[in-house]
Amino acid sequence: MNLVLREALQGVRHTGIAGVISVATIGASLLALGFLWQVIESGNALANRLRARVEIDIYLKDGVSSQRILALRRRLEARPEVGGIAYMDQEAAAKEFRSRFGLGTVDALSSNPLPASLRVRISPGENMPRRARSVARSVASHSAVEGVNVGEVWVDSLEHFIEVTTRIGLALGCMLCFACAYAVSHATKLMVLAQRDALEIMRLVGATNTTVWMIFGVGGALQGFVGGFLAPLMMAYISPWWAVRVPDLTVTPTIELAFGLVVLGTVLGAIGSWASLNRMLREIA
Amino acid sequence: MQLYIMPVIKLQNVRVEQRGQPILLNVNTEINQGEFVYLTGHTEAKKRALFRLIIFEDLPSSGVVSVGEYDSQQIRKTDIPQLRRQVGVVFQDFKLLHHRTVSENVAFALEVTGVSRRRIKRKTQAILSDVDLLHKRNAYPDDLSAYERLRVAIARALVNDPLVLLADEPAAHLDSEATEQVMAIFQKINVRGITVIIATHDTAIEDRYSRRILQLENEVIEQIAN
Repeated sequence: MNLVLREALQGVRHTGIAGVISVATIGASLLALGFLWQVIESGNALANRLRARVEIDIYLKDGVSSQRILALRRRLEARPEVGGIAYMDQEAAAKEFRSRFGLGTVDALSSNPLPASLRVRISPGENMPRRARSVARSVASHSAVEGVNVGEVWVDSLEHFIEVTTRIGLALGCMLCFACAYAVSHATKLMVLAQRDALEIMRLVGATNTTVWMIFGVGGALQGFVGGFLAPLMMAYISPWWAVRVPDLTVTPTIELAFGLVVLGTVLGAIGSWASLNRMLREIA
Repeated sequence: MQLYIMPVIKLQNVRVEQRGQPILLNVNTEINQGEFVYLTGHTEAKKRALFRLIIFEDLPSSGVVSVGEYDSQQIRKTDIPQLRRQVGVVFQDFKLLHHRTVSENVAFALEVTGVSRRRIKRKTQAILSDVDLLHKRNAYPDDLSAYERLRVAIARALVNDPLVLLADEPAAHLDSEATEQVMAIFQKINVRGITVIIATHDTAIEDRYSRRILQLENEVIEQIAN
């Protein structure tokens, strides 16, 4: 093990400036991958927060008795899609209107035209637009209901946005993973090239394949480890700057992500090194 | 008089082809343990092909190559490193590692074969003493003369106690005085019972030292002197 580590370290050292570039390439690739991962994670968290706000407004007819409103409310509460219900009387509706659209608009009229309503929050989970529509349909024909606003366009847009960003994220993630593996494989090739003479001697004096593979695998893994370690450090460095510009999508790396990047870098480094070694052994033979 | 116990290298009906072209055709020869053999011939490729067969870098297209207890028909890939520990090779360009000292170059051959640190130190010192390079153990190859570099290469080839020592044109970079000295080293090695095979095109060496000479000509091997 002593020999393996020493030779691996020597291999890394002898790559010189090329080795530094290799590690930087690995670090940059993993940074891009980690960054994308964190953006998708933050995006999903944001989407979940927005999903939790999916609501439908059930407008009530004027002069509906409180018993009928209560009956409607109980009917809604019985549905599993409903996460919560809030009653909003005409005064509260006017207040909300004022806060959104400014003073005077409602006050200019002789009476408050805004209806009382029940604001129904849809419980978070899969397929919220479909469930929101289902709730709306179930009460649309109720005698106390004037109309229902499902906010369908907004909910559908949100679902669509989440779906598209997840697909783009997955595609980009896959591409970055390949790019990362490719970069690491080329980066570690420099190390193998720098050790070509030693590799030739090892084979000729009777080093076993296991010894040769261990030395070069550990060398590549070391490069990958350093690159993987740099990636979350760079993310942490960038994140305050990013937070000012895009506050909803934080890129501060979590411990799990940092650990994952280090492990990924190490594994990719070893695999890349083995791939390069394979090519080199074929060339030498 | 030398006592030859058994063939250490045996080639039976060996044929080697490279890119469809025959390099060696129907080669049959035996080299016994403790023999000193010159391998001559005008074509570098043929000598190299034979060396590659002996270290099992290549396998014959047909026929059988046997080295020690291994033969080309039965050897497993995992046995090849074991076989190579029994065959020391001195290359024409020495193939020394320039960023390692003389001592490290020799020790490297032991380290990568899993020898203990204590034994490495002892064996390295002993072998460097044998080739009269102990005083240069901390020097780097680039600071040595061609003759000294050749001795480092010989020390590295011998440090694993091989049965056979192959040397490819060892006198290629040496003057006549150094050539005499290095031949004396090879003879000393041979006296220990190690089979020495020297590839050379230097007919003067062949004439000066009365040894068995195998000539590679027209894709076959023939004995021209004993």
